[in-house]
Amino acid sequence: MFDFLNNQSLLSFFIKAFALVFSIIFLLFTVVVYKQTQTMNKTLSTSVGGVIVSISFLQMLIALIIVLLAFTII
Amino acid sequence: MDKLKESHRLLHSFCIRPKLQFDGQGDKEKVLLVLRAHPLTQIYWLINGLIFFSVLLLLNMVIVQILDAYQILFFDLFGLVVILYYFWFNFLSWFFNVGIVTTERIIDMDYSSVLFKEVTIAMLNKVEDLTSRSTGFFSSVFDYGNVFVQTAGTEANIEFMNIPKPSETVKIINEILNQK
Repeated sequence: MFDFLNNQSLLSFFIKAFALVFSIIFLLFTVVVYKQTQTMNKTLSTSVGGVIVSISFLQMLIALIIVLLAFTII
Repeated sequence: MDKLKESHRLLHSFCIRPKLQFDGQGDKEKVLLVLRAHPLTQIYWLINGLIFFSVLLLLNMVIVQILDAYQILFFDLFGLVVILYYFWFNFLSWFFNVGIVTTERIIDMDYSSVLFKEVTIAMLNKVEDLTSRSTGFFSSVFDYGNVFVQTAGTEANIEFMNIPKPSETVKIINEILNQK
């Protein structure tokens, strides 16, 4: 009954689908948080505002790299 | 008001005369007090993050029998980035949720889950009553609690939740009100 779970190609398909869907959702989320960080930084300007926006931008870049890895590696 | 000297205490959760500006600040308006939640109240997401990290390590023992090396590398990387993002997201929530006391008004900026913004403003001359409240063992030991600012008429009331030194905050706001 559960033979299909042992099928390696089916497992790979599920893994790739999982990786793509979740990495894209994560990328969208990081974009939203990056834009929101910019807005928050304008609302409340502090001496570390630039650092905070840069870290959010870096997170967005890492999320983009993860999406590319999901397309290529698996 | 002039007695207040610049200081940043408890990981910038209790700042007197900090060098910051906010949206809509008047030309002559000066920021006297900036309040964030006490660092101790944020410890839950640090613990959660460590638990997630442990779960990721445990999952590695299981997936090593199912997935190949590239797939494991991807999932480890993805898991690690998501955990780091969880830390970062909570830090942003803490950092930008502030209470501000200026020479003219009291402002409460709330960003619940970073994505929803709520700003409440009360003019100092409309403040009727100030209440500080500390309940529980930890809030008594580490001196944190809530401050409620009640205003006259239809003006919105302001609540500063889990801030450090609630009694000192009320004292400072009272001094500012007395000098107005």
